[in-house]
Amino acid sequence: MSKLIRALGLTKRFGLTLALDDLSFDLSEGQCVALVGPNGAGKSSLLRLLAGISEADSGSIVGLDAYRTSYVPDSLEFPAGASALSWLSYVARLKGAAESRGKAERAAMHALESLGLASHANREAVRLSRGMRQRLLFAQALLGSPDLYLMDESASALDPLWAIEWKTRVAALKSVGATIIFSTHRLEDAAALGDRVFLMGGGRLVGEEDGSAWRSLGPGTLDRRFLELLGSGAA
Amino acid sequence: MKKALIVAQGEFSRLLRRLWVPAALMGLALLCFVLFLTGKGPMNWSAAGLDRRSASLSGLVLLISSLLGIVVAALSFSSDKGGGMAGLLRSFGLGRCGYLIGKYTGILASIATAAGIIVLAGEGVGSGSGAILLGIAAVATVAIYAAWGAFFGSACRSSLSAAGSSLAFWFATMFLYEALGWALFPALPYRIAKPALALFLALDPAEALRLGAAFLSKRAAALGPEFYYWQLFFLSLPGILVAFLLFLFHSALPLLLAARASRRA
Repeated sequence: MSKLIRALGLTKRFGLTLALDDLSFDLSEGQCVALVGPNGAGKSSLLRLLAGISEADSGSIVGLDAYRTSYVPDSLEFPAGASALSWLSYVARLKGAAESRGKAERAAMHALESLGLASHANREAVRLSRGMRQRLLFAQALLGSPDLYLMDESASALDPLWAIEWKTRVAALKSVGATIIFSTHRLEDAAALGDRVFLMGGGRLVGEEDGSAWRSLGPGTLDRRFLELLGSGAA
Repeated sequence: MKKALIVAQGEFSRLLRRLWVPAALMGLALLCFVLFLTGKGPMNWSAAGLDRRSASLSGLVLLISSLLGIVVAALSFSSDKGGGMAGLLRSFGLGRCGYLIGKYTGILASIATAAGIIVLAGEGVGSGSGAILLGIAAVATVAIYAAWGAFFGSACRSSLSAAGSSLAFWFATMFLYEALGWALFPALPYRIAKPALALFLALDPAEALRLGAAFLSKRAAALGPEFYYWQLFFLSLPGILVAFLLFLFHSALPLLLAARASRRA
């Protein structure tokens, strides 16, 4: 039976700022949702709620318990002095991907190799380039065999080569049935990967497009469509 | 529980990797070693009485260990919060309490290691139970002040404000509170002053710790006759229980406040 995630009336405030405003949606197992919208639209707040990092002021999310969730933040302040390998081994143990330290180190090394970071394994994570740190964050998401990925602008600092590789990896995760919600400012990525595209603005879902419909639009048309949806949502 | 233990282990090694933390711990251990070596450690209190210098030097150990505990914890918690690590750890299914207890235990363990070195240093120069007493006092001090550091680190928006608030709290409990007592108590009638003084001293972690150290080293009589009777009580079984409950109150209150503050994230 398909696992369903249902968000109902999610509202989140930070002081006077309304980050999420009565947001509701359903998500079926294996779907890939792209979240697009201007800065401050509520994309990160939604992903943080889904990841269990913060709690909604009102509303509910049901169905998340059935998933093993992995969250990829757009950036992270890595602990000073920790190498990429030691940090990833620590994460592997916390995520239950490995029982012993030795197994955790092997799992971490494997994840580093798969993201092209093996030669940087013993470098201090905090001293890696921003793109490399983002790859390291993607590597931690792969640990523990998750089936729900929540990615917050996780390709924003990648170079073109790794941005292409990132799309290939996300497509591969989709092909094995993973459920994915990712936020992006690249409309082409949203069109290429998303089965559904959620357009967010002012903490609300101002529009939803079918991914295949977006894929049929050319780059210029995609921009226009985005602005149209944003305009009609704001009106 | 298992995840909290992994966080504690991670925090322990993370703190020892930060050079200033082991350097400060070694400095503290060195200070204690000098105290023992020059005969101004607590082992001399019963033999030589309470002189100004031995009291000052031993007080310095409590001052430094409390400062170290509160600042290390505040910076550790606030950098995790501001840098996103706290959020990422929670996404691994680690509850707020597990995270809080894990980090707190790791910080405590790393500083308790230094206390262990202090005890060994004291043993090395033949101070006997004096070194153990100082070790117990240092660990209790760190336990209480690191818990307050956890609160300020969880409640403040930046590392700078967490460090600033922690220092202000440390200064207030270490120095201002005592000054307030000097201003307040001479004005009170004697019958009220006695229970009020007991409550006043028990409510401030620094005063409670100072008094606890005085009771443990059996030198409280030098502070006045009331203190001698309190010492007799606190060295009895019901007194030890009351002292333990007081210690729990002082360390659990800031941790509960920290758990509450982290919910607002």
